[in-house]
Amino acid sequence: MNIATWVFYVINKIVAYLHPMMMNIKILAFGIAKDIFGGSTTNIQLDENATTKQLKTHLEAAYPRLKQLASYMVAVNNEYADDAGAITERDEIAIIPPVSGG
Amino acid sequence: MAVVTPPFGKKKTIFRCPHRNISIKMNTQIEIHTEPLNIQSCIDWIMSPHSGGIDVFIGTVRDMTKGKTVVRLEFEAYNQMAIKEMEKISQQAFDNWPVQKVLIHHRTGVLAVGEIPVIIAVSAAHRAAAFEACRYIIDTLKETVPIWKKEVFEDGEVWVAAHP
Repeated sequence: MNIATWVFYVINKIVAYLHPMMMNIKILAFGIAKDIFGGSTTNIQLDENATTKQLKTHLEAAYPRLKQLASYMVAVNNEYADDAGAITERDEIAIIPPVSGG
Repeated sequence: MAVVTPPFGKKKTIFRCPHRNISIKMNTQIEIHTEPLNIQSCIDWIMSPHSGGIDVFIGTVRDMTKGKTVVRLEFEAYNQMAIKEMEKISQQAFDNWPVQKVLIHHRTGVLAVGEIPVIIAVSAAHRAAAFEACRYIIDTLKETVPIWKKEVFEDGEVWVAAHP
């Protein structure tokens, strides 16, 4: 590792420390979630590599009425997501309140 | 037209409508409509000379819920995901029963009392498979498919099942 690489590495680390990468996540809402968000989408800021669980925690802080629902799921790219699953800015994220079709 | 390669088995060709509220395969027809559903066209599609019976479930808008008069229902779907979930359910029906064709049509928008939110039709060589698969499809649809209904009463409205 030469000196230039080392300097570059240190500067990168400092920048990353001062400005942790944030993702701007757009979230689609349906059913009662639309009433809770006051619209069919909402945006939140999440740390890079955030999980579905972290997304839920942020959303519940911003919209406490979510916690009063019987339950709700997060869909990532049209599939029900696990709490541990990672989220990226490119994913299509949706809040799925209890379904009631048929 | 998209060629979808499943993780195993043969390559399947699935024809998809660009706005993704429709999924057509040889033996499966899944659609979400904003216009009234047509019972006869569903039956025409599901009938075949190979079938010994067809089972049709028609959901209709009821005028009362827990003693309160229903004025109308409003259905909303996450179209793309709803189609995907309905495809999974129909695949499960094929995996679990010897059925020949599966049709699921769901309506969205505002529906008056007596209108039809859902039609499910299944054909099979023998009636038991058709009955059981049809029952499985509607029961599972109500649990997993991202479609929501709001009941509108004379004095208020409620998203069904939203709260405990």
